[in-house]
Amino acid sequence: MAIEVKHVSFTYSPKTPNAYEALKDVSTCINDGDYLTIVGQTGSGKSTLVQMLNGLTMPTSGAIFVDEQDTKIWCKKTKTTRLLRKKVGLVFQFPEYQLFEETILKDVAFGLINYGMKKEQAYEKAKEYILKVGLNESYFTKSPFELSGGEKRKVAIAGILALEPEILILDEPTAGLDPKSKEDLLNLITQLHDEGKTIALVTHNMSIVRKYANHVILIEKGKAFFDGTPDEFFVNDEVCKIIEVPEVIEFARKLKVKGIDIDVNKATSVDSLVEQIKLWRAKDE
Amino acid sequence: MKKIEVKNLKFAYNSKETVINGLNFSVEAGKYVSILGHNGSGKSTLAKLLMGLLVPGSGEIFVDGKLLSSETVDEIRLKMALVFQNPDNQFIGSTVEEDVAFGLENRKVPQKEMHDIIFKYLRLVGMEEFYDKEPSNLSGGQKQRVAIAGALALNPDILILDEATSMLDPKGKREINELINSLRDVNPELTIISITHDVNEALFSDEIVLISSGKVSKVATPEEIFSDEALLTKNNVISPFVYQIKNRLIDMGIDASNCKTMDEMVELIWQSK
Ligand SMILES: Nc1ncnc2c1ncn2[C@@H]1O[C@H](COP(=O)(O)OP(=O)(O)OP(=O)(O)O)[C@@H](O)[C@H]1O
Ligand SMILES: Nc1ncnc2c1ncn2[C@@H]1O[C@H](COP(=O)(O)OP(=O)(O)OP(=O)(O)O)[C@@H](O)[C@H]1O
Ligand SMILES: [Mg+2]
Ligand SMILES: [Mg+2]
Repeated sequence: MAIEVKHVSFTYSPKTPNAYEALKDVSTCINDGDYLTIVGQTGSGKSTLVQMLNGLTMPTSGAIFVDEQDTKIWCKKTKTTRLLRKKVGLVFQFPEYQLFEETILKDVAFGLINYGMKKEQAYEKAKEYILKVGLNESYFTKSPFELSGGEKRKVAIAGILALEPEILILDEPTAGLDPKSKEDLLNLITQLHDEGKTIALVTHNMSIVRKYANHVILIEKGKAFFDGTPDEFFVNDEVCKIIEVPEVIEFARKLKVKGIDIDVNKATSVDSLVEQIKLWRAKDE
Repeated sequence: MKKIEVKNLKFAYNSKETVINGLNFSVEAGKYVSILGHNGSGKSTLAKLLMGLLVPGSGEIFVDGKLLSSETVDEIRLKMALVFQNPDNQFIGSTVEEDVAFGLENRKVPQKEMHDIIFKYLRLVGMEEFYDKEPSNLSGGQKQRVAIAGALALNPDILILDEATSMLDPKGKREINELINSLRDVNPELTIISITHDVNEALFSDEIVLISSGKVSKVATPEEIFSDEALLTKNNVISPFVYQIKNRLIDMGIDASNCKTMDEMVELIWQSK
């Protein structure tokens, strides 16, 4: 098991008049090789949860285990804290706060050098990942502060990917990306997942849940309201009162009601839906 | 009447590259225009130029027929409100209430009217109960809601939204879009320029301005833009779901070219066998 979340509660500014309990008794397991999506309305507690997964913050009560070890123990010493951060890579919701070096190349290489990689090798790897997120060579020497919103996000993602963490956590990574870049990033994440990485992705985009995830958690007012598979998720009446089903499911359901033979659960993307329509048309009855 | 007119606009942050390369477009009063374009195409730069926060290298911007310049910028800006792409770049107050108040003070709204205005708009975006919270301690979507309230409270003639709902859940997005439409009903002169990567949101605008590498590559209705696959691919845009399905049906030999809704397409598919 990659990460175990056990009865976790989190309170901001505890023991002050401003105390605010953002998470209440949340438990779940993220298994090795999971592609988890974490969904829920604005302010439900998603970012609060993911920031605890690499020991950036600690539960107010309950505990989080990464590779069977409590994050409180991982973070007792600087050396093991660093090991945890390398094992579990986290891309923030506002990536600009993750950027600080003079050039993009230095920014992406920083983490690698910090983890003991030789400079030359670190720069090579940094270049590789900057290109992978869809920025070209002309960006290497630019300042990360002189970028557009979407470009900043790409650099922040490259910085974490370059560390090649076993568990990759991304907080709304597609916000601010143009549709093509969005699709490219999702393909890149899928490739990493196919190579054996564990993925946890916070998103409002239900098409991503349908198309990519094998595991979904819905956070509602600080509680884990649903924890299961996407197939179960999209047919759950209580869940559907909170979320909106993706268009591909809506369309598949309409076809089914009409009498067209469609497996709604297998309609995970436009491609797979169109395939099924073709099959139905080709079948003679 | 033209509310905004941009003529041969050019801008560079530094001597190495120009970011806005001779951009032309205009917006009629009362229209809702979406701006779409690849990351780094110059959309946020354009928004800041329109607000007079950046000064053009060359070219002109006219608002209500008046040239935007150092002499007119203060007066023109009073008509406009911008919601920044990153809401943190917009917050000034130490509480949500103070933050909305700050913009109103700038526009010399009488003190005794302020409280009602602030709470009216916080209520409309669903953030009333957060009035005493620090903006920096809000969640991503909550920050965007407060930023939107701050802009709407100014009762602008021209509202510029720079990916203002990018972190809201689908329901929240819809609520905000409905709110903005209801404001257009009250004030038919309200002109909206919405920069977005959300094609479903752009679908509801009167017009789409497609920007590529600091130039306008096309201005047309959503229907025209989303039917042109080659244009979209060139501009990093992927069409909305209904258009994707429509195009795939046409490829299959089903004539869906006049379809607008899922129901129409379901009917056509049913009849095609
Ligand atoms: N630093 C903080 N201090 C006090 N309260 C906070 C702080 N950060 C977040 N909160 C509150 O905790 C709740 C959960 O916030 P969180 O950022 O986890 O939400 P979220 O699910 O990520 O939302 P979004 O989808 O809008 O990003 C919100 O009500 C928020 O106002
Ligand atoms: N402060 C700055 N200094 C120098 N160059 C900048 C600065 N801000 C942006 N740029 C560059 O100008 C170009 C346009 O940036 P802009 O922010 O206008 O793009 P955008 O269309 O809003 O992109 P996005 O969709 O990613 O938000 C980009 O190539 C960017 O790298
Ligand atoms: Mg969040
Ligand atoms: Mg921008």
